[in-house]
Amino acid sequence: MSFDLQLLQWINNLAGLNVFLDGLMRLLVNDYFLTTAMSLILVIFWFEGQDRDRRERNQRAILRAIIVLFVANIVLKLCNLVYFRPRPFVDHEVNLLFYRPTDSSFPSNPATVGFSVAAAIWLYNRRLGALLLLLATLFGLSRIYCGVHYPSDIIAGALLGALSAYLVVRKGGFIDPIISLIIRTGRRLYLA
Amino acid sequence: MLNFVSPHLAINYFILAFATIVGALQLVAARHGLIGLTLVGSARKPTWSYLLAIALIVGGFAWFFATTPEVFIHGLAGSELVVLFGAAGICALAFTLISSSALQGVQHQERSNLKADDRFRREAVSWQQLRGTLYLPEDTGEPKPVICVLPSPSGTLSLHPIVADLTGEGFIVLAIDWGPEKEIRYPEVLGLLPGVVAYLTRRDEVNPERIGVLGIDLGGDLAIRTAGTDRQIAAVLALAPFLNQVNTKPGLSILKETSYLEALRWSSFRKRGKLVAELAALDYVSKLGSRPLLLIYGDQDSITPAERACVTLGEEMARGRLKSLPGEGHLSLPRSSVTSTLVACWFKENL
Repeated sequence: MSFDLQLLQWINNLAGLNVFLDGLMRLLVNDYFLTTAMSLILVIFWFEGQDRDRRERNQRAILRAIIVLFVANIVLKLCNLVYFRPRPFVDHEVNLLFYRPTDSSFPSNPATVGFSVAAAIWLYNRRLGALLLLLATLFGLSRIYCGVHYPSDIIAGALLGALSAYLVVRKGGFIDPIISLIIRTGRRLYLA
Repeated sequence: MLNFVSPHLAINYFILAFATIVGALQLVAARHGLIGLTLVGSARKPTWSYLLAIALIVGGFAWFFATTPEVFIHGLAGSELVVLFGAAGICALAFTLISSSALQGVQHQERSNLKADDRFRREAVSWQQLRGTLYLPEDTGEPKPVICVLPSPSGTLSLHPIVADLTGEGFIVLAIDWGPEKEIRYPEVLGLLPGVVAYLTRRDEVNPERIGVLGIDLGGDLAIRTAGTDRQIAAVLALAPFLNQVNTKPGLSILKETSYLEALRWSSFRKRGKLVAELAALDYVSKLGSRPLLLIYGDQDSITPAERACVTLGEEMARGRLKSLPGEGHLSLPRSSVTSTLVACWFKENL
């Protein structure tokens, strides 16, 4: 038995032992709670900063995170086109606490989304980035706990998100004029 | 193509996003004192805003998970979530800005109604290029000192308390009307105050040796610039002049002072930045020589912060000429009774 499967079973076997933990994982695993919570954190972060320069830095981080999200999703779709991995519940007996997704298990879509945004913000703001990384990690863990992803799916998704963030933030200088234009427009409208 | 799977799920998610984003904006309003975003009470007393934020965010999630069983079956994909969250974000922002503006409008209306009085006579003035309103105190038969008031050209700032206090102290007050924006041009605008002075010296009730100028916002810059070259102006008081073009683009900070709609009205005068640069009031401060000059800023001014003005003026120049009023912002400064009392006292001592 592979280490990946062993780790899946070790985490997934916790399901059903504790009602509260199951309830918490059901809350975290769906597509609405953590994604909305992370988006709200970004909405609040847009207005953070005591002066215009600090606010602009935060706003640049958010706009880059949005671009990172799109880039990571494109790469993810390409991966799905060339490689399909069945979900754990297809080939193994798992405690399933979620519906049965039909798309490829590898790499994990939620992990890619969560880690791409979290890593992009982390490159600008360590404290907020750490909070978002924690939420993204919980998102990934809940997918394993509920039996819809292998640990390697989550790790691959996290790497894909983090790599996209690094490339867009550190090497994507060519998108700066677009970001500056959006911030200038926001300022003219008193929203940035 | 977008596939929203279930209309019920999509509508519920839209409502969740709308409610939680409004809640997040209340959190922002409370945390940063943004009056332009607050939906309850005053942004400077943020407890209600925090409570509303928590209620909307926690309540929104609780309602969504309690009423949407589709959450735990195959549902919306990322692209649909992005579209719904984005649309809800735009609606929530528009709702917050408009509702907050309406709330601020009602509160401001209540304050204005309390202040109404008729302690002075008023007379519409129309002479050559000059348009304005002359406020006359009780007639004592002697020529009186006169204050020319140059308000903000966008006309958002009420002059009522200042006019009331100045006429109460026996000053004649001429509130100048800038006229339509398209007719305000540099250097023609430099002729505005000399025209006013020429008009006033023709009137019997005016003492031509005692003409002072009070400028507000961009009016302050014009007052300093004109007084720098016109020796007939005996004293200058400027409320929150810009002095520097950078100050004319406040961005989000303006919502600390006022509602969104009033901010848009303030910025409807588009030539402000260009005129500030052309007037270069800072260069003319030293040309006033020994004539009295006072610049007043509110310590909550987020458009032209007092400390920035102090740096711009230089410590030497600012000494004795710069005053910071606690609790006042750029737009609230001319409306404040503390300001109007200070203005009246200063002119009484210096004119």
